[in-house]
Amino acid sequence: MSWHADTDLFDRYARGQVDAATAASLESHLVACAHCRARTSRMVEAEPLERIWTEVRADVERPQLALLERLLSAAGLPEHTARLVAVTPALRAPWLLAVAVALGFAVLAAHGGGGGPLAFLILAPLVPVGGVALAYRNSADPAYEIALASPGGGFRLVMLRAGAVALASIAIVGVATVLLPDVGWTAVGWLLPCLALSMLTLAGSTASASPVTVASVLAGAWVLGVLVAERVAEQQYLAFGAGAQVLFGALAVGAAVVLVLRRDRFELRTRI
Amino acid sequence: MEDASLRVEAIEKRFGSVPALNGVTMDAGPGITGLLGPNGAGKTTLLRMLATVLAPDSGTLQLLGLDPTRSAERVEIRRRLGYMPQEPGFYRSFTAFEFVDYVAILKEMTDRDERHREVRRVLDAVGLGDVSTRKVRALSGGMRQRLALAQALLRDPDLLVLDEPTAGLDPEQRLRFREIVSQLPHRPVVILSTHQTEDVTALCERVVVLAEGAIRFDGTPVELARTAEDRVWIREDRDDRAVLSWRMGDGRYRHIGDPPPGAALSPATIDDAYLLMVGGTADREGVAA
Repeated sequence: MSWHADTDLFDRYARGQVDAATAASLESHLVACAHCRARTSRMVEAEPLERIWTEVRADVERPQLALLERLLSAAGLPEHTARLVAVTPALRAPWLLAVAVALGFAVLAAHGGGGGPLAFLILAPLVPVGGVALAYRNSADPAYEIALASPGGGFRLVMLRAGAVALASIAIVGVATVLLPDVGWTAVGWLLPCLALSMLTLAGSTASASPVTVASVLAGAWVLGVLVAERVAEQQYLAFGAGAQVLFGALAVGAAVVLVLRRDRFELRTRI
Repeated sequence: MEDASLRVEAIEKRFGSVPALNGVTMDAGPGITGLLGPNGAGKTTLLRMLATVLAPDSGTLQLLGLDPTRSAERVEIRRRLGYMPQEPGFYRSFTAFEFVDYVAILKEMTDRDERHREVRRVLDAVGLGDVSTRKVRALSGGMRQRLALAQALLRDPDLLVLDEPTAGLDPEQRLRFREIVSQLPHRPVVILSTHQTEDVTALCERVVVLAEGAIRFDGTPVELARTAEDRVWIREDRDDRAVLSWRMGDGRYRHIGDPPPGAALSPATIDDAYLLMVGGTADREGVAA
């Protein structure tokens, strides 16, 4: 077909002065006709076209927010901070699911087995510790070196992610705690050990050791310590009693002080 | 006036018992400086220090007139730094746009619209504007390399540290890369490492040769080539007196070293000079990367 639209029609179309039916007919012709496309493009003002194109591109490119990121934003976290938290590996579904399942078994054991809530109380503080270690180890962040060389990387990023993981883990453990058989205040005896062990993991990692190694050693010491205390002491749940709480509170504060004093270790590494 | 330069003095670094840098001293101003050396020469170790992520065992660094061992000054350097590591890791499920956007957040760009405009600018600059919505895992190796460069260009850094930016690029992509880096509008301090002598010839105003953790040469590419003047000769067969010799396309042998009397001398290239300088160490697998 050798039909082409006339110049007057183009001119009115470019100024938005044709009716919808004519415009639609002209547009379907333009799709098929390179000759007329070239003629129209000369008549349309470049500036508004550029603006429309930029807006379309911005819409297409805008990052798709993950569910977690939307939740964090809805909870009032600024958009940019929500993004930094949302990419934390330990906040992904598999880890959270594994945690929930493990705690579920511990709660069941507390109701059915002979040990009462001991297994749960031993496991509970280790959940955030594992999460914190996973959130912070270098290999968890594929863009680790790029992040470290950025003003927003380093200590601030580690604390942001560790804090987010600790909060998420504590929330899950908190829910599981409600399902425990009634043992009074002992049921929340895991909270201070959990804080102490998490802080010790981060503080220990400033000594050039991998956070996973530090967390593993601490977890081993914790489990052994509780079991020995249960066996040796006359009082049940000694590790979760008032005296132990004071000790773990002091440990948490001490570790926090070390962490702040040695925060440069998160910023400028002695090896990568 | 702001200090737009870097200065490295008597830097030493060991990894366990393995020395990586043995008293390196150098400085650089605006323009492109190439760090040339074989694998294991200590290039990456030095660049990591220039990128403020690794601390030296001893020696001092001044980057843009600031001291990276001081916390406040380090943050200021990082605000004006672009860094492309040798093996830049990516969140592979991100799109190209999302990845650069993530780094822009780390670079303190909190205003979303302004940040997105900047992300588009750097993606366009490296020619990835058309694939910005593609997942990183679906990008080719050359595209990922350009993506790593794009994030380094965010916020027009005053100091650009690029670790082997042309590794894995085909000749056309290398050409494009050189164009991008040599046409940066405000002439930042650029330090890039490479083991490709063509990069140095095509791109660098200055070249520093690093081998076994020490600086062997510091000057212009022309001066580097000149160090091999009268030390290159060609023969029909291999001459065992040469430091290094190799067979050329026409079947004859090119030799570098001290030529015997009457040898047919040939004009020296940067390649000759570089091989003469690091010959013998180039084959040895190095210490630290």
